[in-house]
Amino acid sequence: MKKMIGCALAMAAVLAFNATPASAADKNWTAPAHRIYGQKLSDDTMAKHPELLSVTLHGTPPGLSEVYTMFAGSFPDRIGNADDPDDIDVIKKGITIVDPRWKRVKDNPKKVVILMPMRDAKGENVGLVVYAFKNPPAMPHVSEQEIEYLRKATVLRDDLAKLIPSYNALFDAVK
Amino acid sequence: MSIIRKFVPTATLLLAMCTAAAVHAQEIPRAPSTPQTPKNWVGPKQKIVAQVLVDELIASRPDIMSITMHATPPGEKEVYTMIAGSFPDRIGNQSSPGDVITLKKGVSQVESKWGTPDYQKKVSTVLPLKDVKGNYLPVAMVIAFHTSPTSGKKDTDFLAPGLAIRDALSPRTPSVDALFAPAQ
Repeated sequence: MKKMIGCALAMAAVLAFNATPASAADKNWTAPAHRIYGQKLSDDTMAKHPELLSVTLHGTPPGLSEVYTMFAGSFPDRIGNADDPDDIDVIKKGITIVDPRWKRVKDNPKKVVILMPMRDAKGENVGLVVYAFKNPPAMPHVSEQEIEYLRKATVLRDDLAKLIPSYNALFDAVK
Repeated sequence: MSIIRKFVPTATLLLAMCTAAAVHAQEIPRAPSTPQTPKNWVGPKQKIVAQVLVDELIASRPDIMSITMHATPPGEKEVYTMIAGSFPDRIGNQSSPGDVITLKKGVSQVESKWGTPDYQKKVSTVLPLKDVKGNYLPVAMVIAFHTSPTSGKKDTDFLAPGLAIRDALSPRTPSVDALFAPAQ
């Protein structure tokens, strides 16, 4: 019995050790010590919109090149996570993706996700904003639902744009 | 033994000749309008149902610039290709990563063509086809709509007509295989 417990503990230790470097490897940016304006906008959005499960802002931090990262959002532990190819596609091409999470059975809680180009006050595309809506209906992939979710996300994105004088301003320090 | 020695090189040569002939017969035609896009499929000589649907839509909708459909042909695996479209010379073109995302995940996309010469001239919707029960099929339909710098349209103004077209097709798209059936 002691041997079994010892073995289980050893396996757990190995798993824990392996998990830590893998998680660290997914990071490609370290946020500054101060709170940035992008994070304030994310926090404000979440406070005003209880229908949201999350909001995240993505792009290339000033001074870097070809580094695509989540630089602000409602999951602070994910800040600095490297973007996946879908995210980068939105940033580079300005496309919008409506994802009703078709057959994504592992989603807990369930959600509908909209990825769209983030815009500044001039209407220029300046990165990616991702909105996840909570409590989706039973059939979120029905066309009427997809259009409605995109409409809601567009309103949120356009309201956000008014508060973004420039992309670099998103990285300014705020109190 | 000596017979085998003589036979093997001859058989090998014959096999090589047959293979070369087969490859030549299957040679994938180039699409002159998209010379950089690799081909990964040769469509059947007979028109298929997917092409009929595309032809009908193009003929009836002057607001549409182009339509293409992307899927994995029957019998293939991990081959994503343009199976039908309003540019027939592009049939067999390898699907773009964006098309593949839609057919694999069932996401809908609106592509503004930002950063390209087509920006503010056309907007594409990339939509997963559905069967009549509302289940997604692993088929992406790309519909490009005309637009202009002064249209004032938002993403929803393109997604809505795109989805309406897709939904209207669903009674005629019961399965992926049905799209490859010979046209009547």
